[in-house]
Amino acid sequence: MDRPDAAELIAIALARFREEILPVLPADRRLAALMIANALGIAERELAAGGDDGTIAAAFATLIGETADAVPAFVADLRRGRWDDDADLHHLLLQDAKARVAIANPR
Amino acid sequence: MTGEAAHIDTSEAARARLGRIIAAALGEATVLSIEKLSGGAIQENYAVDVETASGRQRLVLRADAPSAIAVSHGRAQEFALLKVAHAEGMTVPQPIFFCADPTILGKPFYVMRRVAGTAAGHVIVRDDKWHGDRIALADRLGRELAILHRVRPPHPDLAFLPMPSVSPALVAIEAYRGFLDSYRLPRPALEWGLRWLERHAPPLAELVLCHRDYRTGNYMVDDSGLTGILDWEFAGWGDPHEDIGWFCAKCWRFGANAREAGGIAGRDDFLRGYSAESGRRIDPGQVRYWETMAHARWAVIALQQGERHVSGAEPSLDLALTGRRVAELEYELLLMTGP
Repeated sequence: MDRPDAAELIAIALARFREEILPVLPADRRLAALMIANALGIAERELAAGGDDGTIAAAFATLIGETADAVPAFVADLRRGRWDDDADLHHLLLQDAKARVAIANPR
Repeated sequence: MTGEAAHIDTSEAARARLGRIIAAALGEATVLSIEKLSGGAIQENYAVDVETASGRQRLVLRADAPSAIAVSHGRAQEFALLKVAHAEGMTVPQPIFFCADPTILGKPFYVMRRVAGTAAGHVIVRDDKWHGDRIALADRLGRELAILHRVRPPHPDLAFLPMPSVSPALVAIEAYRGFLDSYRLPRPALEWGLRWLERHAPPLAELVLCHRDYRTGNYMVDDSGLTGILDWEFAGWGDPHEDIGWFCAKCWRFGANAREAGGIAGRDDFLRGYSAESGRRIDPGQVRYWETMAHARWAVIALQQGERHVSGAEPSLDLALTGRRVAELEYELLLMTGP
């Protein structure tokens, strides 16, 4: 793939936007500009992560099975109470959510 | 976009029609300006200034947004709710009239008085020049909510509100699962949270009129304090703890997490006002339950708002970013519902 790649382009464009454009915008455009920077920041982090939730996905598959209808069956079981208080499942869901938060809204 | 999905008609002819219909309520009136206000993912708000015999009047006109989410009331119902709140003595914008006739502006709308100040949550929690004293504001908002919760079913003007026959928590969970069944992907974290909420649901008890979006961001303040409570489109019969939990939930503190009452003051400041006005004993465990529910509900709404963008129905950066807030809401929900 040609370089700079998508993540690198977004990163440098965002840096320039923050340094040169954001500070000189009138107050009534600032919120829109911050939202633009926020959206580009999410895209940058998502690209940098490379869609790599492989470990969590594999652990999830191990836990609930790998048949074609495993996920809908899992949801139905969960609603019926089959997974109530299951610490392994809770841990995995928490890990997955944490990884998504790190992309969408790191604190 | 065209037809009734589009914005309201603001042509000269439409202004003249609007002036005539406002005149019926306020006396001879000339529309000076119609200006779209920002915010409001579910409806469109316009600042309307009119000249009348008694001087310039500042109004707000509210109409449906191009695509709205299914669970919110239409403008006619919202207007009825606003009138009830106003009649109870709550601090709300004075309702003036509802217009069902789509030939005036292209879709139904209602008009109320415009209140001063700002509703922007991220500003209110950070900038002390707004809202006067924070503790007094929280106390006041608690009292206002208690006034609303005096309204009990049945109410002749609110016959359109569904009456829960089981715990309002279970009604909510069923609705959210119904939405998840129609969503294009499974949401295991949200499913986990909903199952926990189902197992811990409080029984059907006292029903009161709940605002259901009572939070920082939905009330106006100026430098003297509260000027108006807004956004009545989700109101319905429910558990009084629901509104308290929604107000205190971490996801509605706009980052000011240490101030548990909406990012403005301590939880006790808010509850003191509520209890003083209502005399009702508040169960902290039930408030905590509804704070957990708040994260599930906000996650569902965020998914729906994100979907309005993703589906192409209403391309919007606001909606797109709201869609990406689901992760943090699911994360908090999981933290609150561990084994």
